[in-house]
Amino acid sequence: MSPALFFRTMARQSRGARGRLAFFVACVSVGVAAVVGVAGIVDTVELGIRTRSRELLGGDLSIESRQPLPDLDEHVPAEVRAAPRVSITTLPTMVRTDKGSSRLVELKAIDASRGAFPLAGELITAPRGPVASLLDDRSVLIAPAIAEGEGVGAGDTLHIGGKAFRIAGVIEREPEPLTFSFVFGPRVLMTRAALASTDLIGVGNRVRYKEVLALPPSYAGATLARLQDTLEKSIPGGGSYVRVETHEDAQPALRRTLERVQSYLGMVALLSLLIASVGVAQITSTWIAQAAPQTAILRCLGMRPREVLLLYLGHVLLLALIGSAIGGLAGATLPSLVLAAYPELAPAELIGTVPLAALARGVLLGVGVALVFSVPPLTAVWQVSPARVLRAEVAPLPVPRLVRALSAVVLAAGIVLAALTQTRDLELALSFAGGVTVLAGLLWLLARGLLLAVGRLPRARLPVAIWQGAAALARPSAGTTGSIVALGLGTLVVLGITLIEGVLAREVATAVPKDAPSVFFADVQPDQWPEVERVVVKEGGAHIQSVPVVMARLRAVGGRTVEQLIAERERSEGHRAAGAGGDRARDEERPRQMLTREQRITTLETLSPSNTIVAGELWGKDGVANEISVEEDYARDLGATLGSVLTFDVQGVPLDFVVTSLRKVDWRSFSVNFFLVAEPGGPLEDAPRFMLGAARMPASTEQRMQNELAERFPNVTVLRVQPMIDRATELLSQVALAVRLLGAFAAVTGLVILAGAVASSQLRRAREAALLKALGLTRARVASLFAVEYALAGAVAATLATFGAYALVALFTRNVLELTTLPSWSASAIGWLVIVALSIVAGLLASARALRSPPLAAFRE
Amino acid sequence: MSNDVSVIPNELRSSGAAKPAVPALECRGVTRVLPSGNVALRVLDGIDLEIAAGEVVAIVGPSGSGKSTLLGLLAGLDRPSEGSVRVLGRPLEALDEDGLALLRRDHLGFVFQTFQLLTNLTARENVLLPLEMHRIPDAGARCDALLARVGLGARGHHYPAQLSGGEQQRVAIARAFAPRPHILLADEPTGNLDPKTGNAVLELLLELRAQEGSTLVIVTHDERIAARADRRVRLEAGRVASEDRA
Repeated sequence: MSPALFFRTMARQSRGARGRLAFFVACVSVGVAAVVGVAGIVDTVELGIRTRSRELLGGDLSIESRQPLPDLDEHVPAEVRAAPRVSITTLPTMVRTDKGSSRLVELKAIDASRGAFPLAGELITAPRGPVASLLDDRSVLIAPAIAEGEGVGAGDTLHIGGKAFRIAGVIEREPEPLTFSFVFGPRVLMTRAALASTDLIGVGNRVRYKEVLALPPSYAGATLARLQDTLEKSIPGGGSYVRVETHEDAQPALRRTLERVQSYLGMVALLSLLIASVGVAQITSTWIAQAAPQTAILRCLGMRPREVLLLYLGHVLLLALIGSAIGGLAGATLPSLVLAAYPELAPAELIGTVPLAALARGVLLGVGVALVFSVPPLTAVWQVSPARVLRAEVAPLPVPRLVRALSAVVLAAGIVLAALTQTRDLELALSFAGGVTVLAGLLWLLARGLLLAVGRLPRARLPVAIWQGAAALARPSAGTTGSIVALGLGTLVVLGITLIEGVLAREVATAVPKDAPSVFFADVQPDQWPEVERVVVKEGGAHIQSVPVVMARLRAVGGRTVEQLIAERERSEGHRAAGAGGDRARDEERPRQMLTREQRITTLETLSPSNTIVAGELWGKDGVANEISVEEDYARDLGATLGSVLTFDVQGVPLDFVVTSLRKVDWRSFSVNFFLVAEPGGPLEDAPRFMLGAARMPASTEQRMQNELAERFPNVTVLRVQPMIDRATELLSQVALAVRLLGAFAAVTGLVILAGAVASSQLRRAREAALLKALGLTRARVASLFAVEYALAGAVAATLATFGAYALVALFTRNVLELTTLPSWSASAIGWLVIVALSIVAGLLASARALRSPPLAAFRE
Repeated sequence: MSNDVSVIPNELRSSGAAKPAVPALECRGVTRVLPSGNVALRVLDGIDLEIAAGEVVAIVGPSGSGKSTLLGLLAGLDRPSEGSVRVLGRPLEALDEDGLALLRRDHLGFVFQTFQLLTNLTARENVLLPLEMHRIPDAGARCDALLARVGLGARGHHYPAQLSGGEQQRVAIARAFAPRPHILLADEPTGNLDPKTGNAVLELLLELRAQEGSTLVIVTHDERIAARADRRVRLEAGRVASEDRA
């Protein structure tokens, strides 16, 4: 058959496909909308990061460290020395108003003597004006949250680090926003000279030092990367403790997080598409069965089976294209809606832009998945004997074994390829495809079992409406098994996410033991602790603990320097990442961070009950005064074992410690615990230290106690647990909402499929309705009989989904999250009822035509 | 029909200069057993039959005698349980489904009792389809000429559901003759029509056959139709009970 004839015949055969088209297109478009929506949002946010990369970095190149940075002029080429530069110091600290109220903020101190702040982007303040004119060494700019929360504004006073500062204005928009990073509180901006006038910079403060440069235009691409490389090699600690980043890196950590979001949410979206494709397969199967007489004529006229298959496949392609295009366009509007709701995610000018790459990917995925799912049912054209033109009841022909095998291979490869497109990780894609197939297979088996059981209900004892519905549902050619599986899978996802969220929320709410600290006190100087403790006791504090903390950097493990260890790990990670996909490589970053983080070491004679020695002995070696006990997972990250020598740099002094015990720590106790605990009386005794305290405070006195400490000890940082738990819970519910919304796409697809299955049996239903009406039943009574059938279909799907979700979530929380909280049955019960109700609505809507048609018309059809 | 374009090799045409060396259709010991409940039903039992090119043969017999089953076997729509069928000298048992499809496309035309038109295609498109499958140049002109010939020149844009039974059967006849097949197989072509319409359709069928020179096999239980054939083959209980020539 020539291509021209193929397309002509396909177009002609497409006529009269309106009903089929509607459900086919609806299924595909819902699935594609989910895929394009997720990809579009991620792509738009990433584009926002790339277009704002200079603004987000604050310039072209930044050098950041937890320690004061060396003089950059000694490390940069001569032409860069003259480039505009801003020095920035950030730290969390307490601020206090004249009214006495206090709060934790993120302080940013700038030195713009060699450039203008900001070097990139725009700082908008109220009142308007350049930073240099607003800010002097005795004033600050504050975030709106502080102004609103504390009831202060321009002209008022803010006490920071023991000094009073005039509030010069409110920051309405700043470059390098805090949106994407974890911070303790809202922003306060001041000059570095102002910071120096306080007594905040001392031992223990979580200070970050940063130099940002605006480079000449010639520093781009390879030149910029070369400068980055030079600085990493030249600055002591470069590449490990000192991070050199360029705007062309475009926030690599943030983009890695986005990749994960794309990967996991992409899988949930793909699930919708796969469920939609079950619908596609079901609609195709019904269509091919109904088209058998026409197929027989085509075969009789001399068309070969493969030509007929191609003809129908072309038809499927056309419908899939229409469905994917509609779904793609609907999904492409999602980024704009999300950006409108969360404007900090991307620049406003990106609202309204069409995520073309995501749209193209979604449409391709939609068309591809719809095609591969329709191939197996399309092979039924082989079964249509041309002899049907003579006798309708002729026996079906066998499908060639090669065709059957090929269609199975195409389907399996298609699912894996689709998962690979979404996850970009073969291992994850295979697990996903395998998991979905096994789950769908199990649901199918259970659905068949339940339908058989429904069919064997003792009819004599049931009301007529129930047994009529049960009989209709259990009829061998009812064709509802596929839709029950699809609806079940969709419901399972939504319910599963709801149950996990419920478990986590309850776990978070109840995880903090009754006597666990509610407040931590950081950066307390040792001589301040007795007074701090007195204030805490006065305000009703209990279970008060305090430990000394020494800040240090890891220099070597077993004689091998941190730089050597990082290089070794990067080499082996490179091999593993190449073989296993990007996700595992990302997981390998944790040990690198563990090696280069600022280490906090405490000295303790005895350990709290939340510590259990799992190897070695605590302070057991006589004569060894430099023993150290390491948390077991942390030891693994460092590559240390019993007997390993850890060399730390404590304020420039190298100190060796021998690992003599490994500990397991129950972090859920919320007690003061450390990865590294050194033996008291050792070399750390003379090191500069600060105290870390903790106490259980009555909620009513917590703020008052904080206000008093902020006034009397401005260097002390008060960290309150409840606001952090609230924030974590809020974040959790936002993530869960996103996943649940995506899961809802899957459930809606299931309902569309159920409606599609009902609609495809319109003729039979119209005849049934006509017969029942002819027997004297009213339309409402006939509708109620149908409703029972749909309710039973929904009930079978919802029962499978409810128990499936409960079992999977229970397994997941116990074995993966290691939690003992069980999912809630009440959420499952509500989910069950909702699905049954929606099934009735979807079914009745789809059979509206059958119910409306007059009896005689139905008999004539 | 000025637009006629022959796609049939001359040596296989009966009307015209050359006579083919091989029979158009040939059955040797053809048996067809079909399952009927738990028993196997011998619908055809050892049929031997030879139909020459250009011949008009009527297969007659009572209902259930195996007439339509035999037609299906001659057309390669079904396969015999035993025996051999040859079409234009080619043994059908040697052909797979694709081979049988191509044989039907290239050499056979069909007219059925229930018309068997493609419902999504207009009358014109139904006639056009086999011509397009043969890639015949001027397919449109031939199609229009054929529709005019069967009296439906103005109804080409109508769908089958918009035509009467007689009109549908005339479209089916036009479609069957469109690619000028060697052999035309008709299964009770007037069975679903009233006598008047049936007669008109039969006349049309025979006229076109005479014009195109095809071999025609008609399955019928109507003795008046059978009387118009060159030869009558009577089936009874799956066997050839008698044969007679006009």
